[in-house]
Amino acid sequence: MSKDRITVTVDPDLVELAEADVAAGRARSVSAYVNEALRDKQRRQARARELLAAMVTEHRLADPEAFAASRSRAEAMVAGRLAQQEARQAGRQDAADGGSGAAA
Amino acid sequence: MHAAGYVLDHSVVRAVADRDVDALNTIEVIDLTGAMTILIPVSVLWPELERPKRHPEDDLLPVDDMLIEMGVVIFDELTLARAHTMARTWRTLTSLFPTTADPGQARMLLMPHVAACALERAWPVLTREPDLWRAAFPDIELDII
Repeated sequence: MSKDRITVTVDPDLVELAEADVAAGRARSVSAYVNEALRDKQRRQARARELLAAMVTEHRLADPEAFAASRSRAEAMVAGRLAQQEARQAGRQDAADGGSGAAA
Repeated sequence: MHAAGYVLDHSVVRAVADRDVDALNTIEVIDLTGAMTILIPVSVLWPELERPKRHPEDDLLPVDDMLIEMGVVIFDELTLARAHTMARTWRTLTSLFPTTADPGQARMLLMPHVAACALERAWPVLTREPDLWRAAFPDIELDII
């Protein structure tokens, strides 16, 4: 797999930990160590989402009607709130652009 | 970090731990937007996060780990920088709720932290206790599950 080169800043104690693992032969390189750490985070996030989805599915199977009502409420509430927050963000951006004279 | 999001109060963290259908649906719907962050103030929420570990069916992944590991969730630690604001809010709360019976000391400690997180980001608080929030922080926007 091809690799992208990026620059990141890392706490010195973590760099020390990575270098110690490389020196001990537990990782091929610091890059491999960081790559594996990011991969592990991705796996844990996926597991968390799977657990949430499993619990949601339990509710859906147990009482489809109540679940559908709950889901509709949640979707309407979150969609409304997201639209409001995005509109505010756009308003702030417009104000900032206008204030700095950057607006077209 | 996303520019949009929710701050969870203790009542919603507890509802997730209790596997409440509304709480689970709301968390999943927020996650599925791909555009919102969930912020969990951690000053006194940890007891709520610890509680679900007692569920025997949590061998695979405890509910607290689920919240912690979700990429959409971030945490906000209480810092000294907020001490002044927190103290002022604490005084307001104790004048509103002079008895220790309700809403309870732990919750009264948590609420100013949740409020500070919500106000700093202009995010709503997701809660199951809207009356408490309306009485204590009428300026904060609420979404209720």
